[in-house]
Amino acid sequence: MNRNRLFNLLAVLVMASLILTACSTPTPVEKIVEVTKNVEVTKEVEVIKEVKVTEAPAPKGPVTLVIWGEGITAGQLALDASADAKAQYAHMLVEGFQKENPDITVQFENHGWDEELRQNLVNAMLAGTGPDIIVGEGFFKNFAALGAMMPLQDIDLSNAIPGTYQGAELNGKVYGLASFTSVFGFERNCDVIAAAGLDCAKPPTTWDELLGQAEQINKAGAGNYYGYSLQGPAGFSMGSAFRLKVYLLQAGADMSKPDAETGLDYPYFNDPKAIPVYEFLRKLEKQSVPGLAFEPDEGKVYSQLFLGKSAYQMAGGWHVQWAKDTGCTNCQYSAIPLPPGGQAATVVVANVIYGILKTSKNPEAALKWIEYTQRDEVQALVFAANGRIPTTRTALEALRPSVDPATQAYIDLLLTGKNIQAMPQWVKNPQKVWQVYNDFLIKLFTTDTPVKELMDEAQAAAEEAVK
Amino acid sequence: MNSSLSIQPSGSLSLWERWQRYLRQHRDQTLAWTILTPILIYYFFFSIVPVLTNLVISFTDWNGFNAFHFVGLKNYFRFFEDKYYRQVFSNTAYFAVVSMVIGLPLGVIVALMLNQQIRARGIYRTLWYIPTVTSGAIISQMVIVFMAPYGGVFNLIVTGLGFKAVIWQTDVNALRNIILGYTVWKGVGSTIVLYLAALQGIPRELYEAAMVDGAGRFQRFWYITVPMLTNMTTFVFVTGIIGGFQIFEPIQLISRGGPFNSTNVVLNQIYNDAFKNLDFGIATSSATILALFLLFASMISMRAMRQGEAA
Repeated sequence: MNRNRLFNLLAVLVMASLILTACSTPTPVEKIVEVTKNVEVTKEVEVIKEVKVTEAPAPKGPVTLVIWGEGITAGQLALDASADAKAQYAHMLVEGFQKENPDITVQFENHGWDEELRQNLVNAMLAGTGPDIIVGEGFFKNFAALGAMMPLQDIDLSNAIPGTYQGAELNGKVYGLASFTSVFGFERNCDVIAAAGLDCAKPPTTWDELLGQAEQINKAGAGNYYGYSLQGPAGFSMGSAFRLKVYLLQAGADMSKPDAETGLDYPYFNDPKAIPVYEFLRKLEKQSVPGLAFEPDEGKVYSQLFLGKSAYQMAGGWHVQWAKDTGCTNCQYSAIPLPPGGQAATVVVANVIYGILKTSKNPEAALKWIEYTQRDEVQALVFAANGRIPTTRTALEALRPSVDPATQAYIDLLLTGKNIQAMPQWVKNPQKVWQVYNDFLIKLFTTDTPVKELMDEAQAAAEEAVK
Repeated sequence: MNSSLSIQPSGSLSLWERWQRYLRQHRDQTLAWTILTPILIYYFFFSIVPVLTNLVISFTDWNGFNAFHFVGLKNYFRFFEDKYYRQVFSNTAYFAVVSMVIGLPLGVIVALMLNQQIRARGIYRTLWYIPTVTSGAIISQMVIVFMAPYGGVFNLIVTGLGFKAVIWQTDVNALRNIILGYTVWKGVGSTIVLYLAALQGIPRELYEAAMVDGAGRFQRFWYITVPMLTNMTTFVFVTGIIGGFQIFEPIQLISRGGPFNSTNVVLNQIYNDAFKNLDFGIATSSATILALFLLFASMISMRAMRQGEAA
């Protein structure tokens, strides 16, 4: 009986070894000989491994630079650049760079954005198949803190707008640069404002004026149109938090403070300066399109203004083209209204940053490509390609005279804005912290609980989440 | 003639001859192992190895990038001590049990109705089964359209009837009921098919004999149909609970676990911890706890089923 079992086991092992041998890749015999014969060689191999993880050596000969880019540019690569001006930027990024660097082949891939991108990226990095360069907006500092990003050494930042790389800056080191960006301004539908009997040439400049006008428009609209489009808690989109942060910054408040230990962002949901901001938002929600604040589809929230359902909203730079495409011929733009004693401030949004992974096989080529994205001739093509705004001072100055007044206003914000910030990247458990903030907003807009009480409750929950 | 073979002492045979003789004597076993080996290897690498890796990671504070630091049972304690995870587990249990409590009787009732000789029975059966074979992503999208706070179908009906629009996304009870509705509606098709098969397996003679004895419709149902469906009920219950605890799609696509963590479930939080929070320690320990719980629940149910059969 035991003998039979032994034979059975032997048969299985023999077959398993045969299959595994057939499936395995051949091992270079020379390497084994070197390692087993010579102890010094073994040591050398270890040193090479170390270098590979921290700073990969520049490979000799032709290299393939794998870039995970954002979807619009990746899609435009399939278009003919000579026939479509929109495609020129994408082709410049790939073909223009390759022309200058004949030994580098650029492989520009689309792996989604936001959650999809992050999931693909984590999978790729765990499997050791990560690209050389990654794109993103809201996780560079987190990845840098984990030791996954390579700092951009000796890169010239004098021409870059600081707010655009703030999201990739940790403890004095910059881990990525934005290739294009946008900021928030204030948008209004003059048809709606005129229908309510107000003068569209005089947009609100203060929060009080905005609330007053929104109330008037609501009354005049009688359910057909409303004063404001406010995106509240939805759970799916960060769009709401982006815009609320602008109001917080204007009042000198914030939702985060630097974590002394890591340099990442620590939740600060009970900043006393934020109380009037949330009280203002609570009042503003009452003047907004009913139900719209809780709509998970961000596109649906902001297109209502173009469709004549609301008068005012906060808008990214891409809204200018979007409004035209949606048929709003009378949409205009101005500075975001300020609180009493407030300061102008904005947040970078749709800020497409590229950085180099520490596991990059071609870090020198990758750095070259990131520097290339900052050149004036490349940045000059951004606006035509996707309606977004360049990230360098010289490119913005060059673009300004050729664009419409609305886009000029956005460019001016970037060129002259003193307080342009990026969204926080939490010290730990970002999903749980954002969930806390989202729940706080739900209570803010659906209950009458005092704001201070809600903020303290949110702060306690956030501190628990980052423990 | 054959005796020369049989009396040949095995010690005088070469290893190859002994191997050949073994293969002849154990032809069936050899064939079985030959067929099974590839799938066993596949199973080993794609099931056993991941499960063991998961188990190892659950004892570490791995974030995907750092080296493994073993932290003992810390992650397991966290799961039970942290009220966030306790809420997640109780939400999961709630969805699993309540969807079963609603779905199982509903499945029986519909199966009994569809077992009648009615016109267009095939169409009704198909209609009930369509949600089961429809992609969860598509159904979720449909639910989102229905419950949209602005311009959603539910709110158009509510406001059309003269009531105030409801913000379903922020209403804990409403959203939990919507998730339950989704789960029951999508899962009841399988329950119906299983019960239909069981109903058709009940011998007609039993009913005829009961009718001869003067049993009414309810008595036939209670004393014949119900007992004959016991095994199927246990099977549906066990598989339903296992499936219910693995609820993920509607949470990920409809509610994201909110509001106030009230619809968050274990699988969704495993995904969040792994891919958003980069906390693989708690993600893998949650997965292990869920697996052990389901194993335990299945064992109890199977034992109950066996006892039922014996009785």
